[in-house]
Amino acid sequence: MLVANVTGGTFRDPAGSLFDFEGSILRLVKPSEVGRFEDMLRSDVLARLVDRGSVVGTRRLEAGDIPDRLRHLSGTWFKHDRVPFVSVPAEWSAAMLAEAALHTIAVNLELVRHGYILKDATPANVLFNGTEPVIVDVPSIEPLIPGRDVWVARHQFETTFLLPLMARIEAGLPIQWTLSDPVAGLAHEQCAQLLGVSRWWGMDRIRHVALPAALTARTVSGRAPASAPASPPGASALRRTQYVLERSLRALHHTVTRYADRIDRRQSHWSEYEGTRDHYSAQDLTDKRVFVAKAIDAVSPDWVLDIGANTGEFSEYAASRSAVVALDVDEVSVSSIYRRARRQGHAIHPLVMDLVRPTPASGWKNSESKSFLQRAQGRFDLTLMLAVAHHLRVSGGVPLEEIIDLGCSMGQKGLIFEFVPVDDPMFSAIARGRESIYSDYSLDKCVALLEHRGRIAMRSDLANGRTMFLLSTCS
Amino acid sequence: MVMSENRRRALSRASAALASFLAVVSVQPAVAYVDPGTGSMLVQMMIAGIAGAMFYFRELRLQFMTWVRRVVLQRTEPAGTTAETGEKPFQRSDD
Repeated sequence: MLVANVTGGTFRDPAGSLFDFEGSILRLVKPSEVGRFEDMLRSDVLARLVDRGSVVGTRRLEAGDIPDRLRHLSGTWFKHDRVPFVSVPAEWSAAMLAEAALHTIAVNLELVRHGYILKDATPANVLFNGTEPVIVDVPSIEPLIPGRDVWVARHQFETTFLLPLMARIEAGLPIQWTLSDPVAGLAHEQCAQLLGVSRWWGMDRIRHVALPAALTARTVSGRAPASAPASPPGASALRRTQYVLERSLRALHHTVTRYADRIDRRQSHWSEYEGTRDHYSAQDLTDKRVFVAKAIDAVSPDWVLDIGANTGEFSEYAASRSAVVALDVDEVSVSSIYRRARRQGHAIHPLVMDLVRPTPASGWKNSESKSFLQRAQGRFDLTLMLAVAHHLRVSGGVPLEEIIDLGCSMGQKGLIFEFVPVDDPMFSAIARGRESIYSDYSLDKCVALLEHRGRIAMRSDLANGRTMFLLSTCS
Repeated sequence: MVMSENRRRALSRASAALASFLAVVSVQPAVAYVDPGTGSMLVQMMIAGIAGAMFYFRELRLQFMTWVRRVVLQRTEPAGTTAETGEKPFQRSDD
């Protein structure tokens, strides 16, 4: 999330700054904006949205509760409810991006109906509580201006929500790339170049890619905007504005829904994994499931990190008692995990991530947005590394010692580790004849490394040659 | 060149109409710090202009139907209800 040093919080919003101070999320609002901000906080529509969990809860901080180190800053302090785990849009699957987009439109529609509107719209303003999207940029809500029939943030919504989603589905362009800057996103001209001639195929693409890209070339100079509407804005102007905006937002909702519906119809090599998993016999699979269930029950974690979650089967087991963050390199698989978790009400937060190259810190001075490892620090009680170590070793080129080190450091209480030997068919498939260079990778070495980091509380040798470990890292 | 009075009046009315149309769809991005974008803003403005016109036609039609009912059909239904046309007037927020 946005990192702030004490002398300065976030700086992009002219209305104020956000601070992450000793576990509290504090917002400083400038004196000139406080009146409007508090009026908005007191409104019925916001109370309803907060109640429903659609917008993050916000309350004014009493003078006595303001931290001493921040007292010198002028303005009024507010405190936000904290979302327990923060992910950045570059880590989201298409399903999560679509959900965040629809949520933003739904909240905006409700706001417009009651005389408010969002002044900006980017996935950076949305965090997820498990599978539930929450709008956290509360100062983004401002009063509607009667007579202004256009949504100024529409352009930003399109470049940061719609176009990256479109590019992912139509052209396979990873969200990780288009949303590396979640405030800028993918420009209309870039998307037009990406789609080529096909940008003229279908009303959605014409309206959102081809036309805007074509019109951007022209300058809008020479026509000074009028300073005031020709007739004084009255109730009729407000109603017209609300009418126009509602129609526009509903149409946008339909467009995003059309793309969201296409997400589930995709397939990938990994999403078909369960059907092609013949290196496990039925008995091996049962043994593995029994082991993992017993191990999770033994640790009894509050937060679980599932590395290489694939279909999310083990995340789902863990989610019956814990909050889970599931990682996988395959976006299609992650989208499926998200959709299923949302349907079943599990608190699983699935992300697209290659742990060999986790999300770095980014933004101004590389410190506006924390890296994944920084955000995960101290968060998880248990880490799962099932059927993934050989990928990290072979495809990632990471030594076994480092793999185990990372797994242990992420889980405060323990690590469930599945060791895949060199002669395993899956290992051979990815090593492709280079098995000899993996001399450091043996079961004995693995046991030695694990025992160096903690106590092997449980162990099971499966019939297919793989070995399951539960390592307890509690001191 | 000297213009006739009628033509001048018509011209000034047309300019006023154009000015009010432009004013209605023009952008005043003073408060927002977000780049509204030129291309997509133009598309949005065009569609908003059409939708705005539709709003007024709808209002005109509703007012016309109310007048028809009151004067021509001699009914005394309160203005704004649409029992005959069967569609609701645009709902404002009322909670």
